[in-house]
Amino acid sequence: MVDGKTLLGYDDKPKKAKDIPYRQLILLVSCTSILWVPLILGIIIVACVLFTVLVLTSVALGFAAVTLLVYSVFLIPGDMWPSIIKIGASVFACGISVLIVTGVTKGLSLLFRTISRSYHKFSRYIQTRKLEETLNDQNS
Amino acid sequence: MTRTVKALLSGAVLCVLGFAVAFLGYYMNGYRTDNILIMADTADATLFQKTYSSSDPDALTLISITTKRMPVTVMTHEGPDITVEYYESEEQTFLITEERGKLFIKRNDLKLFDEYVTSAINAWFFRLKGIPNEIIIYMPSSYDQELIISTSSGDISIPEPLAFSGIKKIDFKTVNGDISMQSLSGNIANLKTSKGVIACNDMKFNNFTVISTKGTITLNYIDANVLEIRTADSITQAVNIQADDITVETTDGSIRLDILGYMVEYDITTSCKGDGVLNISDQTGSDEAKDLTVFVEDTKATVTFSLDK
Repeated sequence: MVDGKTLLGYDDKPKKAKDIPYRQLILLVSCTSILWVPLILGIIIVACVLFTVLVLTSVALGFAAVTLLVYSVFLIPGDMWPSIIKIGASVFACGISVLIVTGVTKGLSLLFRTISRSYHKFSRYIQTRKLEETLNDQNS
Repeated sequence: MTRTVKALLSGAVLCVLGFAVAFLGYYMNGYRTDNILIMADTADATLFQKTYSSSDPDALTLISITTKRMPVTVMTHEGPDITVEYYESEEQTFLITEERGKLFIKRNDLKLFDEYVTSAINAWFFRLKGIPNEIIIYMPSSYDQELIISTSSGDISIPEPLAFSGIKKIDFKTVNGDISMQSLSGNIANLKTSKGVIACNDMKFNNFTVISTKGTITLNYIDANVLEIRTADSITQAVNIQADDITVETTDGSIRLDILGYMVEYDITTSCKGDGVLNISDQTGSDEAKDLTVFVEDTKATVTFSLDK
């Protein structure tokens, strides 16, 4: 015998007894949209702004680093070791720029993928709930 | 290996390599970092002041200064001499020629790399350390011929009021710098900046032209026969304007024009394109046959006549 089922065919110990009915769930989602829509939009906007600022800063840093690198190379004959320090610092800054751009791009891509996955997951859950309720209605 | 991992690895390798090279330099430099900005000191040491005096100042009909990345200041005095103070280094040199009443002062062009990298960095250090790198021209206030100045990333100014009266032509052009002058009179004044501020106060010229791309224009008490203001994406505020023929043209910039006169004195021609908004409309048959032409595109322009208030 299946758990929660009796011979009469009804479920006297339903596992999802505390689940909110489908219509109420939709109502709840709609009513709370004033909270979660701005929240999600805010997260997306903040992430995009942060992404843009970091990428632009990194590009500027990278450009400045390459310029300093080239400039320092020309200064080697006159002033060798201070120029080597500048070259090292420039290469380090280039590396940092590459790391920031890569990390930020990956982070943004992950964020959007997570939002997309969460949406699909929630959408499937809603559809399942609807199907379950339709089946329950038909059975009763 | 994914692209992200490859990029992260490249970044990490660059960081490690950079750190190692910098540390090697630091070690070989005797654990010192105070001399890594040596290029500023080098530039400081090599920049020296020079002076040029015109051999025949009375015969001059044109003075032209063409330079880059430095301000140009025009000072006047009562004497007849024309003297130019400027700074030279191994990289920064000037070609000065004076013949047939024309004085040309031109900064020599450098090779591409030196011009746009070395010279730009040096100019930045000079400004950072407050090292003077400018051109000052001292000339008689009675000079009544042509004065042409062109620079980039530097201001052009005539700080003294009443410096000239009756100068034939002023032609000032800068890219990122400001242009400022006050209480001057003459025949033609052409002022042009891309991103700087043009500030003129109490000017009387036959033709007065102001052109700006992304700058700010502030004009106060301008008396001219022909006044032209052409801007794009600039903020223009011109008040107490007296002119027989005024042309104002702007795209994406804001303009406030306050004319010292009555509206009935002017034949008005207007043109609004895009989202342009203008508070006056076309008008003909004016009392004094003065012309006002306003072209506005995608911006708001306000024209007022102060004597109508």
